[in-house]
This record gives sequence, C-alpha cells and structure tokens, in this order.
Amino acid sequence: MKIDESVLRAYVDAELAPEQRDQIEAVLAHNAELRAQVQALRASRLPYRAAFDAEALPPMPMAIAAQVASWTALAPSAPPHRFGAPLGRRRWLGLGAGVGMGLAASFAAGLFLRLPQGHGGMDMPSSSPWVSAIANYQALYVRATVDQPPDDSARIQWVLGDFAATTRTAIAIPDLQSAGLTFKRIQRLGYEDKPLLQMIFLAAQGKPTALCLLPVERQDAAIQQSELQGMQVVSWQRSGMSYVLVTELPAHQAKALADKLLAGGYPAIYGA
Amino acid sequence: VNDPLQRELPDLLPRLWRFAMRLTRDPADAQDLVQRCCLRALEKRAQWQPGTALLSWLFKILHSIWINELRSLQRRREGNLNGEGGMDDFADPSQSGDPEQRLLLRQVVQAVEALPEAQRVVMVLVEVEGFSYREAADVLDIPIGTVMSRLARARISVGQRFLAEPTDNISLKQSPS
Repeated sequence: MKIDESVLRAYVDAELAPEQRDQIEAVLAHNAELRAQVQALRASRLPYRAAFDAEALPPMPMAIAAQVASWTALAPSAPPHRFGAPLGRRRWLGLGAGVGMGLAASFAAGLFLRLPQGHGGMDMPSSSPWVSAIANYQALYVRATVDQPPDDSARIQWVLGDFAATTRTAIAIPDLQSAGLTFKRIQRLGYEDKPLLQMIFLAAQGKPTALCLLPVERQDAAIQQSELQGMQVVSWQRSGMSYVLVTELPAHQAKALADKLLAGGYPAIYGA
Repeated sequence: VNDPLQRELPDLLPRLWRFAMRLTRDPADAQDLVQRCCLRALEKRAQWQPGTALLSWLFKILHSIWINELRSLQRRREGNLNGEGGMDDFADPSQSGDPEQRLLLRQVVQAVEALPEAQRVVMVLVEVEGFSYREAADVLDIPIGTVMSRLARARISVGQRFLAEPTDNISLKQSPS
C-alpha cells in the first residue's frame, strides 16, 4: 500500500480496515515525517460544520426567490407528443397576414387596430407581467449562454412545428443578418400554461438579442419601448400574438428593428 | 407542479445561497451566482436525471458558473480596489454562547478560508455540507482521488495552523472520529 496524504487522512479518520491500519502504524514507527503529518491531521479534526453554521451569513435576498418563481413559470415545457396539426395559412412575424385558424374569429375585429403610445385604456404589452418576466429572464443571458454552434435544422423545424401545432399559428424565424444579428437558437418555453417561443440572435459582440412570442387573447397593441438593466425591451401585439424584443442595441436601432419586424420586412430563414 | 425541478428548486434556494456565499464571500456576487445557476438549471433541465441528487447537480452548475464566469470578475474588481476591499467577515455579532467555543469556531472558519480555493471548496463540500467524496467529485467535475488528496492536504494545512498557534486556553472540541 502506497502511503500518501490521502491514506493518512483515512487512517486518522478511522476509515481503514484493521490490517491497513496495522501496516501504517508499522511504517509510522520509523518515519518521523509521516508522523508529523498524522499529528497535523489529528489536530485538524475540528467542528467544521458547527463553525460555518455559526457564521452570521446575510439572509438570502427575497429577490432571488421572486426571480426564480417567475422563471419557473417560464420554464421549458415537456416535449410535445404530437406534430404537424393543421396550420393556419403562412404567417410572417407580426405582419398580420395570417391569423391562426382557431383564433381568427376572436381577433379579427382587432387586426388592424394600432394604439397610440401611452394609451391608457388598454392593457399595454410593456406593462403586462409576461413582458416583465421575459425581460428579467433575458437580462441574465450572457454571450456564453448561446455562443455555440447553431441548432440543427431538424430541431428548429421541430420546435416551430410544435409551437404552430399548439397555437395553430405558423411562425417563421426572421433572417436578421441585415441588422447584424445572427440566429443562434430557438426554444419552446411556457408562461402560465401558454406556449412561449424564444428566438435568440447574436451580434458581433455584446449580449444576445431575444425575440419572444406568446399567444394572447387580446386586441393588437402598438410598439412600446422601455429599458431594463441596460437592455432595450420593445413589445407589441398583433393578430393574437404578443411579441417582445430584448436587445442591447441602442434604443433607436431596437425600435427600427421592431418596426421592420412588425412590417414583415425581413425574409424567413426557417419555418412558415 | 409535476416537474421535480420546479417543485424542489424553491426549497433548495437557501442551500444554494449558503454555498454561493461560501464560494464568493460577497452577497452581491452570491446573488448573481444563485440567479445564474437557477437560470442555467432551468434551461438544462433535460440533462438532470430524476432520481439522482438534485442538490449535487445544482451545486455543480453553480460551481461551474463561479469558476468560468464570475470568479475572474471578482478578482478584477478586488484588484481595482488596490487591496482596500477584501472579503467580508461574517462572524456572529451577537456574542452569544461560550466565548472559548466561539473563538474556536471563528478560528476554524479562518483556517479554512486561508486555504487555496481548490482545497477550500473540497472542505466546504465534504466537511461542511456533508457531501460524500463521490458527490464532491461530481460537483467539482474532478476524479474522486483528487478530492481525497485535496481534502488531505487541506486538513494537514489546517492542522499545522492549529499546532503552530497553541490554543492553550481553548478546549478543542473535536468531531468524533
């Protein structure tokens, strides 16, 4: 048996079999250096747990529990068991060209309604809990979170198909290269039992940009913009879908990006 | 809530907070660390196998974020302070209980805090959190033999410190062997 520090520690802590213990004691009888290590190990048998438990650590900030509660509400839902349910006609992000079949009747009246900024008579997207939840969630994303090889095409199509089957609304991933943003990842999340689609894009540097979609049963709402932890949060509603763009781009660029998305000004790279 | 992670995560937050505080010794860094850990865990939930220890898996994520993302930021910040900062001391200010025992407990914490980080975190996991050697190896993503050698070296350093600083007036209440 090779006698090293680990073996001596196990010896001192009585973790060895009797025959191993005897071997070590035979060696110790003739080795002062090892005996000194054993002496130190014996002196190190201390009430560690009690010592650390006696520390007056600051209490956990309530914000952590609140934040985690909002994230668990957004946590990815279990993989769906179905795929390829009948879809509405081809839909482009925010264009308003197609409304999911199941939602069409409910929202037809509000299709082209655009509210002025700051209108107080309607539940505006920027003030809705899901916009706050997604913005807070996104604010913690760092570049390393998504700076990896892009998802494979089959998975992307699967996520889009799943979201489409659930919401009965076909969605495309916009090609934002002209805005300097490269598509990296798509995720199906959930918010209060509703499917939530998150698309992530990366610029040449800086934090990721996210575009998230959640089906809503409300009228359309015009673009709202605010800032959270250095990120621009731009939201709008169109054709039974609520959109949130969270980006580190300057405010005017974020607004321009949202305007062009709303106008259907970007080609699709996947879906629809 | 059917999902075990969603169900159990809120109850494990205090353990994550404590571990984060012991790694960072800084409340703001610990909050950042716990939040990033939870976010990452929820995103990687498919990688956790129900039936395996959720706490170990969360500690592993938390430790990885500390090593790869936050530790260097803390060091840079401390460097900018030109030595004026330093870690907070969390000695119990209430001064309750036996003064000798309190002093011993304080010295134990200080001895562990003085260890190199790789040894310190093994001590925290095994001696403070009560993780098995296998669990500690999983959390730190290192071989179990490395855990045991770091633990042994850490214990020798702590023991030498106590031998070098005679604690004649302190009754060493050793843990049972």
